[in-house]
This record gives sequence, C-alpha cells and structure tokens, in this order.
Amino acid sequence: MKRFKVDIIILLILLVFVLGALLHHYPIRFSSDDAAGTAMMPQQLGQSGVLLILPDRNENARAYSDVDFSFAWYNLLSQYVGPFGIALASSVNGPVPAQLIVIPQKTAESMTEGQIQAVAQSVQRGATLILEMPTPEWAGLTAVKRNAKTSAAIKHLTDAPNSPLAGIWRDQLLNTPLDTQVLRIDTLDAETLPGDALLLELDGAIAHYRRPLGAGYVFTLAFNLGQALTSLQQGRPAENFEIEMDEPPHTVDLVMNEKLRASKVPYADLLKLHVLMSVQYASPMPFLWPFADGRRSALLLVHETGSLGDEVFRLAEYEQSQDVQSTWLLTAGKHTKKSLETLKNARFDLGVSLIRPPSGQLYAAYGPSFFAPFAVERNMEDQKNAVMRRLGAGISTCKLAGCAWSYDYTLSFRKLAAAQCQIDLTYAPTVEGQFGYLFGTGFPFLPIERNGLPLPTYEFPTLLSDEAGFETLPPKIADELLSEAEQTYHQPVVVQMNADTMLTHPTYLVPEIWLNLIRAAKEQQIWIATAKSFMHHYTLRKQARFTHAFHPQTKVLDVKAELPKANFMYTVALPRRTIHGALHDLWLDRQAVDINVLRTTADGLLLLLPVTSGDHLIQAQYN
Amino acid sequence: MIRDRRIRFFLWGSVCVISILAYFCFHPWIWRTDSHQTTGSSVILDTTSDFLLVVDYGAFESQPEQYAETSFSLAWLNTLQQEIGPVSLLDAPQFLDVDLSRYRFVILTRSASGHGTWLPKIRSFLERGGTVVMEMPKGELRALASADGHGGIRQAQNITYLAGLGSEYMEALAGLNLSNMTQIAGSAGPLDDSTTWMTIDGVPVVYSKSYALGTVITVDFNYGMLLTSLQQGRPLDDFRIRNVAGTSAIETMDLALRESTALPLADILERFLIYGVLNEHMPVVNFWPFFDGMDGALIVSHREEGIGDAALWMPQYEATFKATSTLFATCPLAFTEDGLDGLIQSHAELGLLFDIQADERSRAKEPVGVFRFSPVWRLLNVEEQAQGIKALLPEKTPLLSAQSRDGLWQAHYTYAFRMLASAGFRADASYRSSLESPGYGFATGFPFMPIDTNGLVFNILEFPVLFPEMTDASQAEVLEQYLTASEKAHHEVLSVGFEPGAYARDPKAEAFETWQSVYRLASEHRHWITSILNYFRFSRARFSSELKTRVVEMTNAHNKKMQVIRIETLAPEAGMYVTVPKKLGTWNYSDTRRGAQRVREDGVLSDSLQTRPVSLFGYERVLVPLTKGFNAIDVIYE
Repeated sequence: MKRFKVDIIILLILLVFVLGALLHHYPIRFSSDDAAGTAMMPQQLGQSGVLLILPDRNENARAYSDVDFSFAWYNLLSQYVGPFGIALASSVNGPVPAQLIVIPQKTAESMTEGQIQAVAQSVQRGATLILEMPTPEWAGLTAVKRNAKTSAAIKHLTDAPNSPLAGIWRDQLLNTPLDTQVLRIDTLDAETLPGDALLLELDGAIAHYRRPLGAGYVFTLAFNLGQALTSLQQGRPAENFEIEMDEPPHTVDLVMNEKLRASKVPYADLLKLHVLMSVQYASPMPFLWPFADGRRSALLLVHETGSLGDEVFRLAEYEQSQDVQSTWLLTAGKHTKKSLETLKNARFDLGVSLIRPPSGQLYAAYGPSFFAPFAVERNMEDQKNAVMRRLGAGISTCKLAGCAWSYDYTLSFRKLAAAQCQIDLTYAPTVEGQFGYLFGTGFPFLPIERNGLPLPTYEFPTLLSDEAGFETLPPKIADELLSEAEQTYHQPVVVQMNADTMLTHPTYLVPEIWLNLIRAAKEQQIWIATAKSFMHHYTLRKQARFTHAFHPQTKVLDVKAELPKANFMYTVALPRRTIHGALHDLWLDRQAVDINVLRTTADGLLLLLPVTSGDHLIQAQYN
Repeated sequence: MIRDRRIRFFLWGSVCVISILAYFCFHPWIWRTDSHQTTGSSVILDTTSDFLLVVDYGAFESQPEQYAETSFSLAWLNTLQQEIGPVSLLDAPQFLDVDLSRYRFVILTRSASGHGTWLPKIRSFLERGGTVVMEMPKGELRALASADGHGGIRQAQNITYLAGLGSEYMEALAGLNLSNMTQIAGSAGPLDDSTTWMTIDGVPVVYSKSYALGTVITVDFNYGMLLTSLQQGRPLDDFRIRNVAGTSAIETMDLALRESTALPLADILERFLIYGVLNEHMPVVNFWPFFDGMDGALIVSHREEGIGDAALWMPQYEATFKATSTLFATCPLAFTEDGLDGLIQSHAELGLLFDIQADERSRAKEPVGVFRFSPVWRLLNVEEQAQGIKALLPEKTPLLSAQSRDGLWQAHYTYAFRMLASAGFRADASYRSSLESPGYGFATGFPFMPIDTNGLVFNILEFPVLFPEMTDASQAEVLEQYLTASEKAHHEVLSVGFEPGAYARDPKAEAFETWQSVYRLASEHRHWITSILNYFRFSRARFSSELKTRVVEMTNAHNKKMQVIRIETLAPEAGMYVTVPKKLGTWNYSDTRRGAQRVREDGVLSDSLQTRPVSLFGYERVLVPLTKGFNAIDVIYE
C-alpha cells in the first residue's frame, strides 16, 4: 500500500470532490413540523346596540354535535351587522344595555333564572332578543313550557310564511341544506301564534317565530342556527372531528352537502339574512354594510405563483394598468426583492402559498453557496418568514398549496394560526365541476375550534378556482357568479387563478375568465379588492362605535356613528320596509338625503348610504 | 516495479475512462445525417376549363448556372390556379394534337412561344374568336401580332404604366425595383393598331391586337420570372441566398421583400393581367378562392415547440366557434394519446415543425448508446422527423404540412423544398415575413407552388406567413388594416402564427387579448378562419373542378337584346362560388339564373340566384353561389 500512497491520496481527494458534488446536488434532507396555535376569545373592538352573550365555559367537545357553536353568531354579526358587543353570560346581572340581544343555545342553557329575568326585563323595555334553542326556563319569553324533544336528524325547511326575504331569496331559503339539532315545537303552550309571527317551519313544525313581549320582541329559533351555519361554512367532519378519507384530504372534502359542490346560491347567507332581516323588520336597526363605498359586491382575484419566478408578474402589470389590485400568493424563494417591492408599492396584497405535504415540500439549503450538503424542510412559518424577509414587510394572507388539509377538522387552522396567517384562502374548489358557494357563503369567517372558541385566522372561501379546471364548468359561470353577487346575493367573489396554470394545465379559459371578470367588475362598478383590503374594511368597521335607537311613537330611527379613520367610505345599510312603515325621509348630519338616488340591495330591503369616516348622526323617518 | 506500473496504469486508466464516459454523458457527440432531396417535377393537367396553358419542358434548362437562365413558365400555373381554378396544362409536343375549340384562352408561355409550326392552328383559333396570350414570343409567332422585338432582351427597371389600375396599386407597383427580377423584350417601336396595357421603363410590355375575331395579347416581359422573384424570393445569381438580415443562419425572411410589404404586389400584377387585360377581351369566369363566398381567409398556425398537450389550448378555443388551425409540432412528438385525441376532436391539423439545420439544441435527435449511457446523439433529418410524427398519428390522419423552426432555411434557393418534397409534404409555411415588418414580404398571401432551379415545380403549396408572431395590440391593429383591405378590395389569404407556450412562459395579458382579437377581427371582416389543410383541400377542389363558359347574345320576351354568359361547372365541394364580371363592355349585369332551361328566347325561367358584388383591386365582379355537383347557370347582362 505504501507504494501507492500518493495515488491513494489523489484518489481520495478526487473521491471527496465527487462525493461533495453529489451531496451538493442531492443534499441530505431533514424534515420539519409545523407548530399548532390555539383558539382564543377575540378582542372586543367596537361598540354597538347589538350584544352577543356567550357562555362562560369553553370545554372541548367529544363529538361534533356537542360543540358550542355560539361563535357562529359572532361570524354572522361580523359579516352583516358590523360592530357589536360581546359579553359572557356571567356578566348579565341586571337589565342588558342593548337594543338587540343574541343568546345562542349554550348560553341559553347556562343562564340562571335571575339572568333570564334580567333579559326579560330588557325586552319588556323595548329590546329585541334572539334566542336559540331555549330551555323550558325561558318559557316566560318563548311561551314554550314543556320539555321539547331535540333531534339531530337532518331536517328540511318546509315553509317561510312571514320571512322578510322575497323572490328568489325566499325560494332558495327553503332549499338550504341543514345539519342541525332541532327543538321539536309543534304548538306553543301559552298562546296561539298570531298570523304573521311564524317565520320558518322545519318539517312542518315551528322553527322560528316572533313574539312581542312588552315593548320588545323575542325571536325564538327552534334549531341550532350556529351549528347549521358552521356545518355549511366550515364544513362537516365526522362526529369524531376526523375527515374520513383514505386519500389525504382537501378542503372540499369538508363540504356538507353534494348540492353545495356546484352551487350558485349562498345558502348560509340566506339563513343569516332571514334571521337578521326578520329582526330588522320588527325593530329597525342599521347595519354597517360589509362593502365599502356603497358597493354591493366585491371581486377578489387571487394568483398563486407556483413554480414560476418573476415572469408571472406580467399578470400584475396588466392589472396595474387597469388600476386593479389582486392578491398574490408567493412561493418562498422564487421571487426577487425588486419585483416584490414593485408589487408592494402598487398596493397588491402579497401573501404566501404554503407548500406542505402532501402537495409538496420546500427545502432551505444549508452551507456556503458553492457547497450546500444539507437541506431542511421549510415549515409554514419558515415559508412565511422567508417571503416576509424578501419583501421587507408583514404578510397576512396565506393559502395551503393544492388546498391540502389535515385529517383533523381544525389542525390545519391551528397551524395557520401558529404561522400568524390572519387570512386563509385554502377553502376552495379543487375537483372538476366544482364551483360556487361550496361553503354556503362568500364572506370570511372565523373557524370554530372544538372548544367553541374561534381560531384567529379568517377563512375566506373561494368561489372559483382553476385548480378545479375551468373546462368542466358551465359556460359563463364566472360572469354569472359575479353578476349575481352584484345583482342578487351581494357577496364577495373570490376567484383563484394560479399564475402557472398556463404552464401546467393550460386552457384559454383561465386568461379569458380573468380578463372578463376585470372587465365586468369595472362595468358593473363592483369593488375590486384584495383579500387584505377587503379584510381591512371588514375589520375596521367592527371597530366603529355604532349605536342606534328606534322610537316607535315617532317612527324615527336615530343612528350615531363614530367611524374609524379610513381611505374609503363606509356604507350604512338601513331597512326600507318595516312593521312601522317604509323609510320616508333620511338625514345625514342633519342634511336631508334624497333616498331615491341611493342604491339599495337587490331585494329592496336595505338602503345603502355611503358615509365618510368620522362622527355622523343619521336619522331615518318611517311612515 | 513493472507490476506497480501496470496497477497504476490500470488504476488511472480506469479513472480516465470513467471521466471520459461521464463527460460524454453530459456533452454527447452529435452525429448529423443529410436529408434526401427530390427535385421539382413536370406537370400535365387535363381539366375542363376555359384556359389552356402551354409550356415546353424540352426547352427548360435542367441545370442553369444563373438564376435568370431558369425557365419560369410554370409560374403562369400559379397565377391561373390561384385566380381561375381549373386550368389545362400541355407540354409543347402535344399542342398540335389538342382540340383548341375546347378553350377560350390559350397561353403560350415563354418556353412555348417560339414554335412557328403552330401558327396555322393558332390562326384558326383566333378566327373562331379565341384569345391568345404569348409571353415574349419569338420568330413567326412574334410576327403574328406582336411588336418587332428588335430591341432585344433588356434588364427592366420600373413599371411605368398599368391601364385601368387604381392609382394606389399603380404607385405601389411602380415603386418596385425590377432590376434582377425580370427582363423585357424591346422593340424598335410600338405595334400599330394595338392597345397598350402595361409599360416597363416606357416600353409597352403588355399590349393587345385584334386578329380576325380573336385577340392576341403579348406579354413582352418575363412574367414568370417577375412573379417567382416576388413570391419565392430572389436569390443571388448562383442560387445562394444572401443573409440579408445578418443573422447567424439563413432564414426564409432573407428572401422576403424589405419594403412595400403593405400590398400584395404579385397579386395585384396577377389580377391586373386576368381581370384588367384578359377580361377586357373575353369575360373571365373564375372560381372564388374562399369557402362560402367569404371575403378572405385567415390561416392560423401554432408552434408547439415541444410542450405537447400544453399547446392544445389555442386549438381548443378555436373549436368553440368551429374554426380550425394548424398546430406545428416538433419531433419527437410530445403529445400524449389523450392530447392527440383532443387535437383530433378540435379538428385542428397536425403539422411538423422541423429542424432544418439541427444542432445540439434541437429536439429532433435520438440517443445512440446502451441503457442511459448515450455518448452519441444522432440528429434526425427532415424525412426522419416526418416519419417520427407519422408513426404516432392515427391511421388516415395525414401529415401534410410542415414549417421550419424559427424560419431557418438552407443556403441554397431550393434545397429545403427538395427535402420537403422528399419527405412527402404537400404544404409548407416556412416562408415568413420578418417580425419587425410583417406583411406581404412575399408579395402575396396566397399559397404558391415553388419552382426548382430546373424550372419544374414542387408538388408543395407554400403558404407565406404574413404575421409570424402576434403578441401585441399594435400588431392586431396592423392586421385589422390588412383584414379591412382584404374585405374591401384585396381578398387575400392572411396567415398568422402563434406560439401557445410563449403566453405560458410570459403571461402578458396583451398577448392573450391580441390572440383572441385576431379571431374576432377575422369574423367581423368576413374571413374564413381555417387551417392549412382545409385551405389546401379547398384549393385542390378548385383546381380539380370543371368550369366551361360561353357568351351568347339573346333577345328577351320584350324583344330586348341581352348578353348571357352560360356557365357549366362541376363543384366538387359545398360552399364554392364563381365570379363573373359586373360589366360586359357596355352591358350591365342584370340577373343570374340556375336551371336546366335557364334563359330562353321567350323569357327568363327558373330560379334567380342570390349574388353579391365584390371588388378585386377595383375590378368589379359578381359572386355567384354554386351547389355541390353540376351547375348550369346563366348570367344575364342587359
């Protein structure tokens, strides 16, 4: 061996170089897990005459049906009412200082006789109460004394005799798929319902009715609206909170009902509006409308950059030339700082597309640039941080690439929360033929954990995605969804078009739909928003101080609004037709406003009044 | 020591061999093979037509040393097939045996215009009222009704006069530098009692003179050479192509006109000759070159560039409004079976995007080696590339069309055509205008048969691409101008090219909008959006159809005289039209009738046809629809 010492040394050196080169090209890989966050009680930001009373205790439910769905009411009020107060049941020790009190099922069950009396006093003095699945202890308010049976079987809405919803809204309301517990009330014990008091029937039984009490009203829901809404919006897992699939699940596997997989109707929102408008009809109150500048709908374009680099921003160039901003979900490590800054300066919403198994993995190389023998998998937080570092700014919008989801109902939400993603866009159609309101709404909502608390990541459902293949969709469906969102259902329409689709699954429909949507939105004066700008308005309006008082004698609704500073106009929605008459005159800061020039919702029930930020007094006279 | 040396030799030898093998795996050696070549071939056509074209293949120079020595007689075939449709083509030895009474026009090309022995037969034809066109006649034929020709053969400079042609077109043709493009036959003076239709450098080069009941039209310049130089391009005298663009390789655009690309100069010249000169002596009836009487055609092609199924989105879009296109794909074919099915379902044509000068970057290559070790890659020639595609195509799916990748071409004028002919292609779309100045770089939008150096034609239709790459709105604006002109006066074939992968790589909204706007514009301007294959088939149907006409004078029921063109034609396809002149001298077009009896002395019978006026560079015509099969039509002038 000694004779070949030099040769062996040279060979070893060569071998080290070869091995080094191999390691550089095929580095040793290390996997990495995601941290999981926790659900928490959201902060109360604004002030309003609407109060949501929540139960004191939050326990992990063993089965899905046992979850406390009270926070579904939080979502409902956030989406349509705007600012509202929240209070724990234990804080109710006397008359409740609110014009509208909302008591979900678990709260109703937990309240004592004294607290019930306090609520009853408030109603007697003129407040309105929405009561979900009341126990017999509430009989003084509801007139239901007996122990009514609860049933978990899927029920169908059979009639909406006095629903304020009209036309297609009412027709579609009866088609709403329901997954809820039902309180079987065939008749009221104390009295017969007046002809116009029954609002909704479930399988021919009373499901929702209005009962006057003193100067106020009690609206009783004989089904768990919170559960119905959560099952629609957040999806329905198995009772053990698992998504029962052999294949790795996707968000679409949570869709509650087959009908929803290709749905042009936001069923969850029909239910919400039925409940809210019923209240508004009896007891006029203002909403702080979820669309800025007096608009009636919004278009949100979302692009995932996928495998492409800066060249994908050609799409952004065009959008910029059209004065349109969209949401870009960037893949970590694919884009230059300069491009990202350009987009940021052009007010695009820059988010991150999180590539996690089973959709794929991203690795960060470790070592000097010429030799990187190790690669560590980037978890969600790493990917988000990598994009934020390159961007030099924070990121709020995220999406799990490929819409991959955990087997556990809420685990992915927890991971997103841990990565501090405030907005998530993973709820989207991914299977051919799927489109529309798969989750019953176009509005963002906070997902509910099994302990009943919300996770701090807004889920913004997508209506159309090229991941589901536009070729299999009905022709012109994008135009239809957008125009119906504007002219019928007043919804935000999130459309995802991956910037690399033309490389991976090219179809002319992707650019065609993209361009047509921009054109149509401009023509119909639809708000073209980013996820971030929409949520900015959405959450800012919740910080408003927005109080109201309706005087039945004079039939005047007084609204006092203190609206946070913003670069857009807020929209106050006022009822046009009530039990007290139709809206006749309107004053904004004591100046008369011609109600005939203002826009209304498509059903004509709400008048939309754009107002600037700051303090305002609004007076509406009904006659 | 010797043993040590052996071990060391073995050791380091092994290291060297492994290193060399590894090197060749990453940098394989490239092996080129030449394509076969098939030269141009002679053509004889015996169709039922008003037109007889005569060439003398015996007079063709088989191996000319200079471009100008080539016989361009077969260029007339391009003109007649493009403008008329069916035409008979005879070789000179058969001329004396042919019955000229079957024809109304006899065209003696330059190669066949020196046969004095034909004089009696031609005189007899003229006495029966026929029209004879002679290109640069010689000897006794020249003496029949042409100027003396004593000025000899001269280089031409500029067209100076074109009778009756609109000033815009006249100016465009006058601006054309004819040096090296054609020759004229000078004479001591103009011919008495003749009508001059065209002059070059002040010399009458197209003039007519009555002879008995007929007319002799003399074309005293090398029409075929000029037409070929315009359409096929003018090489250097030794047939090499000059690298005009100064790029690293010869491209087809090196043969294109650099200026005057806004007008189809060759088509203006051809239509001037047919409708401005021939039609003035004898009404010309021709098959309209566009399906369903449309005002033009937009031929769409796409370059697949190796992306396979990902290139199908453009044809799929076209299928939604029943348009078709040609998708040129590289070899080896990257389509999946589903992709090929999708292509067939969308009725798009698959053509070959060939590498004519394959290099390391070319896709058209195959590895030579074992397992994954391939130190040598063999580049496929055009024929092998065609075979590679054909092998994967379903039965009865033709591979008809080809296009050179990036417009690259051979340095010799016709070698590339010879390769294509050898590979069995019938259509080619390699001729493309430069990206910087799109338009009629080859003086026409119509397909033409290229002429080999031996004067014979390739059985290939060359489709010049006017807009090889449309990506921005300004190009769409230019195209719209072309479409507008085509709709109103030019009636052209406009070929456009797209690359589906380009939008995917660089997703510019403008490029997508431009692409979609092309179809909208074409529809708005009544252009047939189609593939090379479909246009080729339609053209073949025109060429193989039958068209016989005669003019008779009649008197109607009111004892009023009228002129009638009696047309008997066989239309092999649906959607075919003929055009007739709007005026016959002082007679104006009145009506068109179809039926067995048609027009009788005592009145007009049968059904009237819905006709439409069209203008071809200012020559007013009437478009008459045909039904598939035999048509007997009377066109009435009062």
